[in-house]
Amino acid sequence: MIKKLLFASFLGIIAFGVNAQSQVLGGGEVHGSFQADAQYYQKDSAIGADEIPEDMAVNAFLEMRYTNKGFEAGMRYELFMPPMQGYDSRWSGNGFGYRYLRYSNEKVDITAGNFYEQFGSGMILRAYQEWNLGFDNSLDGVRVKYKMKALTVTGLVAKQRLFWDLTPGLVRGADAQLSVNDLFKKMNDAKTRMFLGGSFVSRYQVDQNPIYNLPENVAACAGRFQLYHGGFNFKMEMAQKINDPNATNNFIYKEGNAVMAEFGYSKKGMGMTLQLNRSDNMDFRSSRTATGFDSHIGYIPAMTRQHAYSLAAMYPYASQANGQMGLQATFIYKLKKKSALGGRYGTSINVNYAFSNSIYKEQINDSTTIGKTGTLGYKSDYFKLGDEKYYHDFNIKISRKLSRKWNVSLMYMNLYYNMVINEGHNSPDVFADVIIGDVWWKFKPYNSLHFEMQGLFTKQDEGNWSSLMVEYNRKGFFGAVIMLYNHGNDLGHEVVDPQLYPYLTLGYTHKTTRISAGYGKQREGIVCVGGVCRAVPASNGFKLTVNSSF
Amino acid sequence: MNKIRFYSLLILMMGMLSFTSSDGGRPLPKIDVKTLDGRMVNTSTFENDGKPMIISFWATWCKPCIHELTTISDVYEDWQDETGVKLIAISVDNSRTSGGVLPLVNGKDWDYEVYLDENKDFQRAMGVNLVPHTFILNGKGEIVWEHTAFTEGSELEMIEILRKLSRGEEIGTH
Repeated sequence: MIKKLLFASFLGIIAFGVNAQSQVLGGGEVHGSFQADAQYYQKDSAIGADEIPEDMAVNAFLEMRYTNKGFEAGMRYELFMPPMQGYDSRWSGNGFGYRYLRYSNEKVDITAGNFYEQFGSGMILRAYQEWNLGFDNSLDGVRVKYKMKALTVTGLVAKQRLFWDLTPGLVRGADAQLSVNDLFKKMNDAKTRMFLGGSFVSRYQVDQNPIYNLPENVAACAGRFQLYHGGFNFKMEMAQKINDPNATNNFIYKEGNAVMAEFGYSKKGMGMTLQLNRSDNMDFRSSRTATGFDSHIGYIPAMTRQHAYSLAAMYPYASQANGQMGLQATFIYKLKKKSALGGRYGTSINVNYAFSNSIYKEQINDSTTIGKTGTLGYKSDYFKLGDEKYYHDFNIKISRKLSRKWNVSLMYMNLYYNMVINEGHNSPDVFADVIIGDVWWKFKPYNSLHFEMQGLFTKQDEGNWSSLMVEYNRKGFFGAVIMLYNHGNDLGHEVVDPQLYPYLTLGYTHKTTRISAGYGKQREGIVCVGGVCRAVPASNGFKLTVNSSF
Repeated sequence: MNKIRFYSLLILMMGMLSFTSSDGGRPLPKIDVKTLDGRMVNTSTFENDGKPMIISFWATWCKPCIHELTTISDVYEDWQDETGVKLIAISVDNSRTSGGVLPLVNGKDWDYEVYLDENKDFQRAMGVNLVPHTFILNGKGEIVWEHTAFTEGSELEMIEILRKLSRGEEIGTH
C-alpha cells in the first residue's frame, strides 16, 4: 500500500518534470498527454463503493504522438490495475490500446492502425473516446480521406475495439461531404451557404445462429443537408438501416430509421434553436450480440442539456436508439449592459426545454405480439407519439455580474425521469424540482471564493438532496469542501436513511500539469472544481489525480 | 509481474524526458475543424497578421470554460487595442450539444472566432486532456504558452504574456 502511494507520488513528480513545451527527435516533434488516477478505497456499501481486494485501484494513460512534416505516429499506453470502481472490469490489464501511423498532405490523408471518425452527426458511424467515462470504440484498420475544393471523400475498413479485444464484426464505410458554394464560382461569396453529405456503412458478421437466418452484411446509409443564411441555420440528417436482428431489438427483422432536424436563429445578444429527433430500431453495433455500452457504430445522442451542476445532472436521460421521439428548444438572451434590467454589466438568461417520448407501435397482425423475436416486430406511424413519456427537462438560468467582485447565477429546473427506460428497473418515475444558487466573490486579484448551493426535491427514488460547496482559488491553487446530503426517504416498501457525503479536495495547477487529491465520499457524476470539469465514479477514500500535457 | 508493468511505464516516461528540448515554439497541427456556418477550415491556416493569438478549448457544458470566455469577453476590446490579439475558441461539444454552440456564442455576445471540433480530432492533436485548456501563439503562429483550468485571475497572467509578445520579448517555455 505505502509502496504504491509512494509510486503514485513519484509519477506525479515526474509529470511535473515534463514541462518542456516541445521535444525534438530527428527533426520532428513529440507531444502528448498523461493522466493517472489512484484511489485508495474504504468500504462503504451505503453509496455503492465497495472495498476491493487490492485496496487501491489505478487508471492511467500516456499518449504520445510524433509528427514530422506530413508524417505522424502515435500511441497510447493504458493501464487499469485494477480498474477503478465505476469502470467496466473488462478494462483490467495494461498495454498499448491505441497506436497508428498517418500521412497527410493537402489532398490526401491516410491512417493505418487506430483512429476515431464521425460521419455527419454520427448517426451511422461515430468512433470516439471518453477516457474519464471508460469509453473507447476506436476503429482499427485503414482510413483514407481525399480532399478536393468542394468535395471531401472518406473511406474506411476496420474492426472495432472492445476493451482489449476487437469485436467480431467487420466495418466498411464511406462518406462524402459537398460544399455547394464551392462548386460554382458565382456562389463562392454568397450569403447563403449550402452543404450536402451522404454516408454508407456496412457491417459484416458471420451468421452462426441455428434457428434464424440472419443477414451477414447489414448496411446503413444516411443523407444530410445544411443551410446557413445570415443568422438562420437549418440542418437535417436522415438515416436508414436494413433489417438487423440483434440483442438490443430482441432479434426482430424490422428495418431501422432515424431523423434529426435543427432550426436556429441568432444575432448578437440573442440565440435560439429548435431540435427535433426520431429514432426507430436504429441501434447499430459492430456485433449483433452486444448490449449495454459495447460496440456501438452509430451514435444517436440524447437531445437534452448536459448539466454541470451535480444535482441537476443526477437524473440524466439515456438515449433510446431503438425508439424515441422528442424535441429540444433553447433560448439565450443577454440583457444589455447599463440598462434598467441588465444592470451595469449585463445579465444572461438561458431557457431550455427537452422532451422525449416513446414512438407509436402496433402489432403487425393479430396473432403476433409487439417486438416478438423472429418477426417484423411492429408497425409504426412516423408522426405519432407512443403512449409512454421517457423524459422532460425544463430549466432556466439567470447569470449576472453584480460588480467587479460579485457574480451570481440562479437556476431552476423541473424534470421527469422514466425509471424503467433510463435505469431498467421498475421503480416509480421521478418528478423533481432543482434549485441552484452559484456565487463567485473575487475579493482580491487572483483570489476568489465560490459558493454553490443546490437542492433537489422529489418524493420518489432517494428523496430530497441538498449540497453545499465552498471553493477557494488562489492562482494555481484550489481547495474545496463539498457537503452532499441525502435527506432520506420513506418509499413504503423501503426506508432510505439520511446520508452525508463530505468531500475535501485540494489541488495545484502549474501550466499544463495539474495534481489534485481528494478525501471523503463522492457520488458519481460531473464534478467542476478548481477550474476544470470531469466525470467521476462513486468512491470513498483517498484519491490522487495527475494530469499533464506536453 | 505487476512490478514489471509499472516499471515499463516508468521507463517510457523517463524516455520522454531524455529528448532534448527545442528553444522555439511549436507550430499548430494540420487538422480540419468546422466553422459555425459549416465550412471546413484547416487549423494550420489560423493566422492573425503577425499578431498573437489565443486558442481556447471549451464546451457548452463546461462552467469554468464559459467563465473564462465571459471574463475575457469583458476586456477583449481593450486587449485587442493593446496587443492586436485574436481569440479562437474551439468547441469540443459533440453532436449531442454542438447545436447549442452558435446560440450560446451569440447569446453571450462573444466576439470570437469559433470552430467546432465535434469528434475531438484537434483536441487530441494538441494534447488537450481537460477543458478549459488555453494556448497562446506568437506572431509566427507558434505555441509559446499553454495552461489548463481557469480560475479567477488566470486572465491577468494571459494579458501579461500577450504584452510581452507585442513588445517582442521571448516567452520562456519553462
